[in-house]
Amino acid sequence: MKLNSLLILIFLIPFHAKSDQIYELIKIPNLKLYKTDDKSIRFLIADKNFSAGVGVNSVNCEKFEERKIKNKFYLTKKNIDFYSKNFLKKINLKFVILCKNLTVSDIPAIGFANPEMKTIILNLNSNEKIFQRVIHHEIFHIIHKNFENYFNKDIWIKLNNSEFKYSQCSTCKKDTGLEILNVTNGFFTKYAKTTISEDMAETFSFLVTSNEYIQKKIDDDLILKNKTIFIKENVLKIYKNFKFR
Amino acid sequence: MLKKVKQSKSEKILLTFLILLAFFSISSFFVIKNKCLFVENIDIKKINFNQPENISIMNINCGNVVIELMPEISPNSVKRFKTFIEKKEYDNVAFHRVIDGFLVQAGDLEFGKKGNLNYTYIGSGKSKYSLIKPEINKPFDFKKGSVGFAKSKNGDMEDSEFFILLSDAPLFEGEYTPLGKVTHGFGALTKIKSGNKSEYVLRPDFINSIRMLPGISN
Repeated sequence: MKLNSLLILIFLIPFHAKSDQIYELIKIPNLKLYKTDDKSIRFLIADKNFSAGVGVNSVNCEKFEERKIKNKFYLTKKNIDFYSKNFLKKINLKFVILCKNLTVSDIPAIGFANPEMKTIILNLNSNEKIFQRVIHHEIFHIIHKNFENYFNKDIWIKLNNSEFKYSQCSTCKKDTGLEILNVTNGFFTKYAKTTISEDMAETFSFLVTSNEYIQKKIDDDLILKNKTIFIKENVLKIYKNFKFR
Repeated sequence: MLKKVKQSKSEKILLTFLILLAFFSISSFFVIKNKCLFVENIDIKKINFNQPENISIMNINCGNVVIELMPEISPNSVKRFKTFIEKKEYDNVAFHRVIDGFLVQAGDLEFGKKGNLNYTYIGSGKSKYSLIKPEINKPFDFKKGSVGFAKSKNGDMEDSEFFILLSDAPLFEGEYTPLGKVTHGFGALTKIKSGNKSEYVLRPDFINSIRMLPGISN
């Protein structure tokens, strides 16, 4: 009995202390450290369901079954490993939170970036293919926020057809699909048409996860081609050793 | 004629119990009132320091806390911290943020001074100096007793607020600038009034003074 109590104490005490540390760093409750990788990225998981922030940036997410998390973790890590340690340090990404049923402003989401807290949150119960691309999409939001002056909005808008207008916000349109469009016409996905920032993030994510099919789409669409050149040039200005696929 | 009634054994036990209870109640009233009763009193004159120029003594309600500063890890931040100490800026400044068993935080020179506490803005005040960049590149193990500069409200810069850890926080490495570590008097820190579950402490405890050791010796 005494041994049981001691074991419970041994496990409870460090977790309690760690949750305080994490809250102190990123102001999100109910998280615990899952893994720290060799690139200094801390992978956090929800110990309980959590809510954080208010208004448009209010985030809710649920605890994912820990025994099922292993595969999702490796998938996430594989995509994060695409970036070098120095690059991640430069863009100031330090925390990746893994949870399920993520909502942002009560709208279901696959990912969410909080550059101020150097954090991205990923929804583990998402389509695997899109999930992988969303990791890079969220990473671009971190890049964009930290190096905003590199990504001139006026230049970007001029890359589009003159009659095109973005929405007021990323959730203002009803149809915001993340599947690649058959007829791109300057945009990889419907979601890319919502805001400049989302368009840039979608372009970056397709560039990073590029394959022959995507490359053909880029080659066949002058607007997309110019957008990818714009993203490449500016990412290379931030980190000259960055290698796109 | 009244007959003398002799106490039974159980009545004697009950009476003894009640007397003891009264004794403990009265004595515990004084013990609880003096929260510093079991805190070890640090006599700095009896301690030998290798680098006295990097030793600061913080005097708080329950006694002295000895902090060894580490300029070899964070030269600019330690220099800034010493400047505040030498100008006595930290005297009478509140421990405005205290998380039980985790950390104590003080150093808001604008809104955290005794007699001029501003509960609305406490924790967001500025010093009269410019913000400085964190020094987070050198390895440092944030263990219990570690002292670090807190970040300013608007971004990743530092000013005058600092924290002392009451438990280990390894994830703080690379996030906060380490200033040094508490070498003596840790017990006094654990008696600082906490904010229960609120972000800031109502009617907080204060730093009485912080002095560099050579200043005290002279």
